[in-house]
Amino acid sequence: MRYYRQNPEVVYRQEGEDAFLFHPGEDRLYLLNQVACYIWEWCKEPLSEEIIIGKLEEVFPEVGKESLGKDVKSFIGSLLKRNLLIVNNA
Amino acid sequence: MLNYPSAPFLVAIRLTNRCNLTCKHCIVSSSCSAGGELTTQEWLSLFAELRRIKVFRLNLTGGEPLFRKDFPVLLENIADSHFTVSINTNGTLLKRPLVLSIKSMLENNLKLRHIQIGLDGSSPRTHDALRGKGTFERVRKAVDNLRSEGIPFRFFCVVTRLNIADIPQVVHRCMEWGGLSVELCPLVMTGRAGEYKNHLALQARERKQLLETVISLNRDFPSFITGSFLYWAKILESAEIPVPVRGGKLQACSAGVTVAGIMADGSVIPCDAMPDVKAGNIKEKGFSEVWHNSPVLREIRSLPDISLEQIPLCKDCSRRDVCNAGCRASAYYSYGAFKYPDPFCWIANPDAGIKRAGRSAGGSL
Repeated sequence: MRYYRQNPEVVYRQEGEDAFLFHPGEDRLYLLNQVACYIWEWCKEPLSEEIIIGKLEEVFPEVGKESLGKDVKSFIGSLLKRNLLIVNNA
Repeated sequence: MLNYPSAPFLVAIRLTNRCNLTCKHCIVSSSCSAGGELTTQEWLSLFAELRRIKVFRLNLTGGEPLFRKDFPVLLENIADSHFTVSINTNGTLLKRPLVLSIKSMLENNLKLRHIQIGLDGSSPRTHDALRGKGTFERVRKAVDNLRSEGIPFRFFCVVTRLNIADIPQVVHRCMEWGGLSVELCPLVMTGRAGEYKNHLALQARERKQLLETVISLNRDFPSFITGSFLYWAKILESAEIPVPVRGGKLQACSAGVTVAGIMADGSVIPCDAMPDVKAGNIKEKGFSEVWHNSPVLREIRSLPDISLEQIPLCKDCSRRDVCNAGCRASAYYSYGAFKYPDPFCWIANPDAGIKRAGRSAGGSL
């Protein structure tokens, strides 16, 4: 099982409902929307994709699991690609 | 989100007003004797606050930042935090021991974006005319030191009447010396640059000639040249090439929004090019308090709401819809107010020269 957690090097700055992520090692800045902020905050602790989807289902019960799953997969993929999340293999 | 973020992304830190040179185009009239700057401890306290409010990037500048004896201590402190950093220098003090010390920090935890070195000529003749005898050779040695240690560096060049004919050669020299890029900078007419403006400021025909040079160099070396002249080149080309409509409002520049500066005495300024537009002082109030409550910053943040129809020198211009009137700092120091076009504009500021149509610089906004 793969667990994802925040890269501790990355700086998170909340701005209203959105937030910035800054990766100092790569000198890159990213803007997160509200949903992405939830996922980022949860990933303080290592979490699996399934757990993240489950947590999102609680916040957005009106959105189908399939759609949430697709979004989470894509978001995690893009964070991994940018070294913003790191993987813990259980 | 507010119309400005909770903290700037980048803060330019004028560590000192002192400098070993007395360049003609210096906007803060630096010299060896300038004083009244923050102590080491005061800078360290400021860095702690900027760390706490999550400013991302610092730019260390001056005066000559390397002139401070505690420069390595300050840089070490910055290296111990999340900041990425760039250093603006005239290059003459980048001697081997200092370069090795920077290299050692780089191998540990320093997140250096680049060192930015002033190069105003492709040879001693032009460079030394602006910066002083022997300085070109000292920059060349600094470049050798940086290259041998693999430290990233780029160049900046202030374009004046003394070096305009040399700009293509300057760009070639920057490439030959291994710079990442070169920023071509306009003259901001304050400080010593203001005193020398009659000798240094470009006439309208020279400004247009410069843009043609920039267009050609940018075509030959895409992405190597940076700076505001690329923007003006687009405006010049807009007569023939359609460009995106910018809404015909004053430039939504980063000053006081994503960028701020701190002067050597602790004054907070909206951007590095506005050294006497003081929003408050960190010795009296914390940086955050100034950032959120300064009327000066509030006014600067409101400038992009102003239509160019309200700017007398712009309202009848045929390029009004594709333009945003350029740099606010340049306007301020040429006309004494922000609500004027950038004096680089060859349409609003033709060869008759620059008139001070507003109040004196340093006065009301």
